[in-house]
Amino acid sequence: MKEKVIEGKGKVKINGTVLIEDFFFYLSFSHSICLLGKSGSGKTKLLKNLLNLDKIKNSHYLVLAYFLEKESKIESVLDSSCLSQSEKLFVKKIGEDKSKKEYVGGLFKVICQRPDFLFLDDISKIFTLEERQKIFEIIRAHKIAVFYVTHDVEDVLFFPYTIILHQNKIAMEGKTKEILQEEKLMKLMGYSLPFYVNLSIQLKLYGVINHLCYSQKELEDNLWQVSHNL
Amino acid sequence: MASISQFIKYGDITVISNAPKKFLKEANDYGMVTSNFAIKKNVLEILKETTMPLEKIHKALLLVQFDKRLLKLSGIDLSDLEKKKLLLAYHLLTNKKVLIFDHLFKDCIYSEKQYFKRLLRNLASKQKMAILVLEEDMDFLCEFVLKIILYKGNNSFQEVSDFYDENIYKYLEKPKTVALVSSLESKGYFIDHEVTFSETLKAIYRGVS
Repeated sequence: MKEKVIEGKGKVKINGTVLIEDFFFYLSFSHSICLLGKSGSGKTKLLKNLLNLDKIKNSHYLVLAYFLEKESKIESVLDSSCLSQSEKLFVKKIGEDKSKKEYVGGLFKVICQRPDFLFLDDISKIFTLEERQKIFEIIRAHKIAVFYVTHDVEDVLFFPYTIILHQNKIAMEGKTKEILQEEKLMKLMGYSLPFYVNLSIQLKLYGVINHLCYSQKELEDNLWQVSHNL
Repeated sequence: MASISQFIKYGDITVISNAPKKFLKEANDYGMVTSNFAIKKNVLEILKETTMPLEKIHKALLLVQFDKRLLKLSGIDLSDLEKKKLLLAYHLLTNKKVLIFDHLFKDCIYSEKQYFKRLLRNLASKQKMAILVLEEDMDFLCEFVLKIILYKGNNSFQEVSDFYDENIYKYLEKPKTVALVSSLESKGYFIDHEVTFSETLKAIYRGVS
């Protein structure tokens, strides 16, 4: 199986207004990507444009998208055989929240079709950070490559590769952990660092921990090690 | 049943978390800033309905940081945040004295949150407007340091005075500062109960060193 599968480039326009200049992308089976951009920067429009590209429409791959459509039948997802018992328990639990139930049904209906690629629009508007973490874990477990767009910097931690949009251009891209080293650039573009990365940078300066941490657990483990001189 | 009007205080900002749906309906009687509208006219046409001169319209758009590249787009083509900015500009141009924000901050990146925090404070303190913020972004609300009223269902409201009261998290997502400090305490560290990022950082340093 080739590493690079679908490549393309283009502008993103809406009614003649250019939102994103010269966007170049490639998608592969093992290469999930997060695109970070503020609200109104053209992220959703970009996803829709990509879906309409001939390269994607005519490819041999099953490419699906989820744009926060509502689907009332969560039961069909729970009845299907595509999810494991623990995954079904998770879906049932978040589906108990009436404000989320229809979105849960819609999202997992798409996941259960096991696409090769999933174009996913910003779910940070609907689901908590903890829920998003679990959703991305489930998507990974089903070996679905994702192209995810979001405005929430916390979401980049769930992806190995990040692209950042700023002033209608790609301002930065690369391995997520390397991108997060560029604190000053991120701040210039209006982003804070993810909470645990930001906190661990400060604590490292104080000598309380000895390396960058990307999660609560990592931070606590490092605190423990340093305070016990391990 | 309580009404949103009892929380309107001129010159003040009040945050209501987990607000009942009834409040969203009542908010339409005031200056409601929401993305829940579908207007096909373009942005400039919508704002011209205020009968304000173009110069004032452009000033209002600048104040709310609306991207002028989007002026010719129709209301339905805008992102959630741009819709809210458009409505905010509209209400400012029509001199609304009560503004109700329907989850403004959850659509914002960091710099936008800081900007709107300052703008809302300005509108309340200098223009004596009543600002109501319907919001559950607890990570940000902790930093905002404002009065937060929590709706607990069955017509019951509580002012949030202690972010370390576990009972409030039946209705809200726990802020990361509180989650971290609580977890560290359970592991035997003595950390002061702080809620903002900078104070939590100092508290961890003191508690761990």
